[in-house]
Amino acid sequence: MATVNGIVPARFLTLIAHLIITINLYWTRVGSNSEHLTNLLCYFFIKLAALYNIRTIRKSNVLGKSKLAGHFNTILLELSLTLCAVATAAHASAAVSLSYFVFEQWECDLYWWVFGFCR
Amino acid sequence: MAARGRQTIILSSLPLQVLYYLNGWYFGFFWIAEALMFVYKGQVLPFPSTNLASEIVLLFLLGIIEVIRLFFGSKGNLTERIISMVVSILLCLPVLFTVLFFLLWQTYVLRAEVILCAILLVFLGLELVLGVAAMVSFARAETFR
Repeated sequence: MATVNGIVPARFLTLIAHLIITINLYWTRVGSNSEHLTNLLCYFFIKLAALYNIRTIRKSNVLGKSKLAGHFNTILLELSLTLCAVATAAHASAAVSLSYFVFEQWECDLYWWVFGFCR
Repeated sequence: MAARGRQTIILSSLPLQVLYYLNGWYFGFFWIAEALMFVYKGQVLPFPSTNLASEIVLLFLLGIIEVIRLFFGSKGNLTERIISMVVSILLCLPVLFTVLFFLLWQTYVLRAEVILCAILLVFLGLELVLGVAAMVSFARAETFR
């Protein structure tokens, strides 16, 4: 239970940090350059797709839970906890790289590599 | 809990409790970020001498009031006490104006501050609506007891 109690706020805070840095990014770049804007829109759609992916994973997880009995549940819980931790780590690293994008003004092309790792 | 015959009905609102829990974590984050931004602004930007001090004092006051509000709100929701909910809802007002001050009326408003304050305002509004609804449901149960 301690893991669950720890991972919920961690997940929430990384998501909030990611949200803030993404809004900041849109805000800074909207006026500047149309090419950048298309790149950012691509990023937005990739995020949407990733969200959809996570939903399907969760659904399949729930399905698995209802099918399997007893002690498999703990394994599945472990699995979903690991998934959650991985997602948190991914969001945290994405937030850090995006903040580099804002503060150090990295090239947009570099970001295709980052997005590639997201998928 | 409202006793009705033998069964007991739990009136505490789960979404409200989730909001209070997440708001507690978010507020810690908000407070630290805001304090760091004041350090940044104090370093980089020229301030009229009294403004910086008064804004930092206001930030500390906001921290105290918000902690009290969250404490009363979550305890009142769990124990179904109307008084604590009323205290929490009344404390929404100073918190609202302080956040609005940080959003609109302070000396320098950074872009990150706008986003942070907007998220806090969303939390505040949702908690206000759900808190009033929870309080009304507690009060109705009280009359039937």
